[in-house]
Amino acid sequence: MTDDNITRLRAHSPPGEKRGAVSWVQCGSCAEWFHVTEDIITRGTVDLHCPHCHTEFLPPEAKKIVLA
Amino acid sequence: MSDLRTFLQEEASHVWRPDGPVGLVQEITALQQALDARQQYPVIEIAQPRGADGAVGNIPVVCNLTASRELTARALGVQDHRDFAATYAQRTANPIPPIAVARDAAPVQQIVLQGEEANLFDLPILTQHTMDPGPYLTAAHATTYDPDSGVDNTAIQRCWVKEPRRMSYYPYPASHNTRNLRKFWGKGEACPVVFWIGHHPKVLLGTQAKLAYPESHWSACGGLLGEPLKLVPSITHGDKIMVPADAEIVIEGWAPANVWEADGPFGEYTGYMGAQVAAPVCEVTCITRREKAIYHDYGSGHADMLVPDNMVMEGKIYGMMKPIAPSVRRVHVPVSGRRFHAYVSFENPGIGEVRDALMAALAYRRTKAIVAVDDDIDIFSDSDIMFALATRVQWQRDVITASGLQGSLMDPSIPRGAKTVEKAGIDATLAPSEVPGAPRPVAPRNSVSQDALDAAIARLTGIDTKGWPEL
Repeated sequence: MTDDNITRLRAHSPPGEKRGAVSWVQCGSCAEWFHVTEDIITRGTVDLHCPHCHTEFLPPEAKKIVLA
Repeated sequence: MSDLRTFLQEEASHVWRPDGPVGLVQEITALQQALDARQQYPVIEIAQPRGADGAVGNIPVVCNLTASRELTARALGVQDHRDFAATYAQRTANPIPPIAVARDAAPVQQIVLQGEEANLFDLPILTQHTMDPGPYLTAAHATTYDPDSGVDNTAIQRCWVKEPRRMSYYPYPASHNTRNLRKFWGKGEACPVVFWIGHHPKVLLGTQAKLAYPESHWSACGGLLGEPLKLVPSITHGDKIMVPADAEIVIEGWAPANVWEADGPFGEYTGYMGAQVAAPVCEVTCITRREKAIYHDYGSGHADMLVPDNMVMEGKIYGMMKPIAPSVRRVHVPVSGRRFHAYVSFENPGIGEVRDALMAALAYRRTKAIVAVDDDIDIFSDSDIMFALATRVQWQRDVITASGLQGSLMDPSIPRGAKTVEKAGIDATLAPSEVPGAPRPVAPRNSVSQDALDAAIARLTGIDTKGWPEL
């Protein structure tokens, strides 16, 4: 799996600052966003399923991935 | 004998049957959402469920079965829902083992559909929320077994129906069903699994008893029923996996080893959409059902699903606290707090007793914040709880916090990368009396006399108050 389409958010939060824990994928087909666990991305072998257009694709085919 | 239809008869005057077809895609869930907003919780029976393709099915849908605390308590014979916790704790502590019946005495096997005849899309399965990717079973009780001991486990698991005989399902990673799955998969074997739908709330509540591993839920169901639960061997797995003989529908199959598929997003109990996860799949071998089956659906994230689960939590918390703190009176896990909050009332607790009880219940994985109050506070009123927090708490003195504890990773507030949660116990009780017979050294509450209050209520009775300003 290449990381070209992945943005990794900073791992640690400074004390007192809130930073979200949800990872998002932008569908390569319809460009809509949906949220996923980091686990399903890092496995690299499970097809993601866009709930908007129902396209299935592996993580490298996503338009963008933002990992929290 | 208790089953889903006997409960519907018992509560016939509280069942609402909308006229005409109602859509399976969000329309039934929207009815629940609208009723939640009105704080009204009839059981809903949809006689004409309309599928996404416009076709009207002939298997009715029942939802909001246990959305009302009053109805859910009454299902167990508890007349006051506020007393549910003690009764649930007592009955599940006195389990009654199940009994096996022959197939011809098992209504759930009146119709047996195998191979190509078995088609999940013949069931009236709802798509509840906007981002749900497809139809989900939400009241499917997944039963698996531990291959080492043979002991079964049952838990509600969401199932995304993808093909006529294929669905993904999501056992929470820390669940006992996941342990069973991983044991089979560790040997390179498919995991046998069945999903059964529809039964009396006594049985549904028994399956949610929080037990050790491995420990079967059937005996807890018997404790709530007051008689043995009737089981019948499943068609696919025989007596390795027994199923409730008086259920409505059973789906049998196998979870092939180490096969993962995307599942979700899915509208969760938190009130947020749960993220898409990698989940096992079930390859369906057989569907059995009654001749005139009723399909049960839980409105995920609505009172329909929160109320029964939360009431079971009340029983668990009561059972954890009472041996430590005899002054515990009642427990409420409010729908407003999803499953994260619990309110507990105490009657004249001794010094230190409340904090001991809080420490005990914080160990329960599902709790996140527990508020302890005196029994003059109505723990079934969020407003009363806020009053106690506002007037009886000094934060540094009265709050116990603990981090690094097991909890729900579905809590949207958890920090990035965290695998554990932070919890709080809040002692919102008043200071106790320190001199026998003397009042507590705290100010008394404002009040009017009961006579004056009765007169005021009488004066207001019958007046048209429509249009009066609200708070």
